[in-house]
Amino acid sequence: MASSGGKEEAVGMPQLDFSNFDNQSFWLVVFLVAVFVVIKVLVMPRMEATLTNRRKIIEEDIQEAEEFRDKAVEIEKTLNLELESARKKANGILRTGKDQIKENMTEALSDIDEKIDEMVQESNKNISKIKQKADKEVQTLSKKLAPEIVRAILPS
Amino acid sequence: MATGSDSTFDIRPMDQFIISPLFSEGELNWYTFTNQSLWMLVGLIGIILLFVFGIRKGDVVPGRIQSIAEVIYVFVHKMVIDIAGQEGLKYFPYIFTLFLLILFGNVLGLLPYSFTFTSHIAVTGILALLVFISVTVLGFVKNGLKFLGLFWISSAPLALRPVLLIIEVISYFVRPVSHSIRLAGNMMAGHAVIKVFAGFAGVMGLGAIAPILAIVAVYGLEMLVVVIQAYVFTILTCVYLNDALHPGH
Repeated sequence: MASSGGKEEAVGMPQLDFSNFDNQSFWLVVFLVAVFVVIKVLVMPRMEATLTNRRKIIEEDIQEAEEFRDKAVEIEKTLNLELESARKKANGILRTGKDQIKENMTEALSDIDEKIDEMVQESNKNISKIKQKADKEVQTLSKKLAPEIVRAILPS
Repeated sequence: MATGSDSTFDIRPMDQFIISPLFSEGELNWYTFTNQSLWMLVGLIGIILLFVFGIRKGDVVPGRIQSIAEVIYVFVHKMVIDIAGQEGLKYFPYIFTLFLLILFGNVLGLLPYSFTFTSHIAVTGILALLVFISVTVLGFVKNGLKFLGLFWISSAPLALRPVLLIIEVISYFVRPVSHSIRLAGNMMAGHAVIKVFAGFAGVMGLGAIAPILAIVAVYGLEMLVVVIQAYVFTILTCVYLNDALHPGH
């Protein structure tokens, strides 16, 4: 350590210079009280207000979010119920539709069968009529033609 | 560039701790405004800037300054609850005052040309004594004579208790000494080391790069030490407070 010189030179440790302890103590106490008052009067009320306000807002937000979640769950439930009933309804409609189609088809098929039967009978009748007519014609023609054939064969 | 001749190699690492009057010459009276008082005032202004103007708006989503103030506040608040319990919260303003005072004293002391008032044993001694006296008084007021149970370890074997009593009493009265010297010593040592390296740098010419790098390293370390010492002082205060509030452990 420096041992001599100007006023601004430390002799050993300035910390151990007890002559200015009264000065240091005085200013320290002033500073300490000032900081304490600042903290107690200005900082703490403001800080606590800010922090509790933030905590409250966060809690409210969480509560709100929980409410919304509950609502969403409920909505999902009703949605599922409605979907189920709609599916059931759709299935019913499909089934009745199929049944109707089947009914209609069998009806139509039997109708067509009847009609076909009728047509067959009619055509059978027609065929027999045509046959009779043809037979008659053959008879008349053969009656007409027979003498001629005989004449042609027998030389007279 | 001279290299270490007696005339230029003149490091006075302790000069930075000299207390001198700022606006007057000569006598140092108890009310004289000194360089130490000036840096206490700067600390007070810093505290007001950070903790009064920084949180003035009280935003729900804090800005930068408000975040810093809140982090420090919540940190000390939580420390008091964790160590001294809910009853300790009553003394939070005082503990927070101590923490801020020491933190700002330490951090401001790292500025070049500044004065580190926490490096003075008078300052830390008074702070430690205030803690010691108030905690002791509080212990007796809260617990009466049961506070003496702090020294009579009922969980130890009976034969050992008188020995433990002596050890506990001694350690109790050593508390303010270690409490204050730890802080002042740390602050003084770091600053003195920086000053010594700076003195080397001043006389080494180009070779000064080595002590300058050393200063950078020590400075980085000091940044850490400065905060940790403020933390240690505060946490020990909380521990002592807890002893006074719950002497039965």
